Amino acid sequence: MITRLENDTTWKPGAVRRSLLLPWRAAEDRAELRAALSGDRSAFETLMERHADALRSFLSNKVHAEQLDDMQQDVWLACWQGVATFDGRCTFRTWLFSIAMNKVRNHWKSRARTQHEQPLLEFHLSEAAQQAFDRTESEETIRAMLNTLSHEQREVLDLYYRSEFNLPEVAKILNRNLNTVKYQFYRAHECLAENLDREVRA
Amino acid sequence: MKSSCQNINQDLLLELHGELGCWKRVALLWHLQRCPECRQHKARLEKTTLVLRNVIGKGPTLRPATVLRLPVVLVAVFAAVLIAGLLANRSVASSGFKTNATATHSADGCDAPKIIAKTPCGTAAMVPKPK
Repeated sequence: MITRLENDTTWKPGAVRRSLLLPWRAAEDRAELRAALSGDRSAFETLMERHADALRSFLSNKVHAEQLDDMQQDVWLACWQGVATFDGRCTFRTWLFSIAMNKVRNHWKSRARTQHEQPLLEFHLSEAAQQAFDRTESEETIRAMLNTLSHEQREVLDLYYRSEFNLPEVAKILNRNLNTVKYQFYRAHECLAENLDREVRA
Repeated sequence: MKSSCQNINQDLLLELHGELGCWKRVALLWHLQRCPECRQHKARLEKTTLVLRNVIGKGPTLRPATVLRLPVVLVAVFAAVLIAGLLANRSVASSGFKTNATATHSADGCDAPKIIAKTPCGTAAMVPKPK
C-alpha cells in the first residue's frame, strides 16, 4: 500500500517551480485592497471570492463542521476591520491565513476553558491516497502515523502540503521563528520515515 | 552516521523541497557526492515526502522565497569577472610577453633615464614625470 503512495511523477526533488503569475496575482490582490481601503465594498467581495475556497478548506479540519460557517465569517469580519493595518510585508493570502490561525487558536483556548476540549487537526486524505488504499486498516495506519506527530508539527505539515505555503510563509502564519519551523518540518518527516520503515518491515 | 552528517540532516530535506539557500546547496551537493550514508538518508526522506504529497496534498508550487536573489547574482557576476581577468592575465604572461627594458639617457639633458620596453608588438617608451 505504502509503496504505491511513493509514486509521483509530477514531483522533481529539489526543483523550484516559479511562476510569472505570482507577482501578478499579488498585485491584483493589492489593487483590490487599495480599493477596499477607500471604501469600495465590491473590491473586498472580489477578494473574498478569490480566497474563500482556500480559507474554507484550511478551516475545515481545524474546527467542527457546525462551527465552520461562523468561523469563516469571523475571519472575514476581522479582515475587513483590520484591512487598514495591512502593511504589505507579506501577501494578502498569508495575512488572511494568519488571521484565521489566530481565530482558530482563540476558539480552542476558550473551549479548553469551558469544555476541556483539545484542538482539532485532522488530515483529510487526498483522492490519490484514497484510491491507493485497498483496505480501511491501511488508511487507519496512515492516520495513526500522522497522529504520532506533535500538534505543532502537524500544523506545519498541514500549512505546507495542504494549504501550499512555503516555509517562510508558514513561519509568518504560525508566528514562529523560521528555524523553528524548519526543524519541526524536518522532525515530522524524520518521525514518519521511521514509522514507514517499521511498517514496511512488518 | 558521522557527527558532521548529523548537522546537515535538516538541509537534506530542505534541499529536496527547494528551500535551501544557494551556497548551502552547493556545499550539501559536494558532501553528498562523497557520503553514501547521507545519500541513503536523502532517499528515505524523499520517500516520506512522496507519501505525504499523496496523503495530505501537493505542497507549494509557487516559491517566491527561493527565487535567485539579486545580491547572489551580483556576487556571482563579480566572481566571474575576477576569474576571467586572472585567466586573461595568465594567458598573456605565458604567451611570451617578455620585456627587454633598457635604460637610456634622454637627449634633452634630463637626468632621469627613459625606460624603453621592447614588446613583441613594437616599442613602448615609459617616460618618467619631470621633477
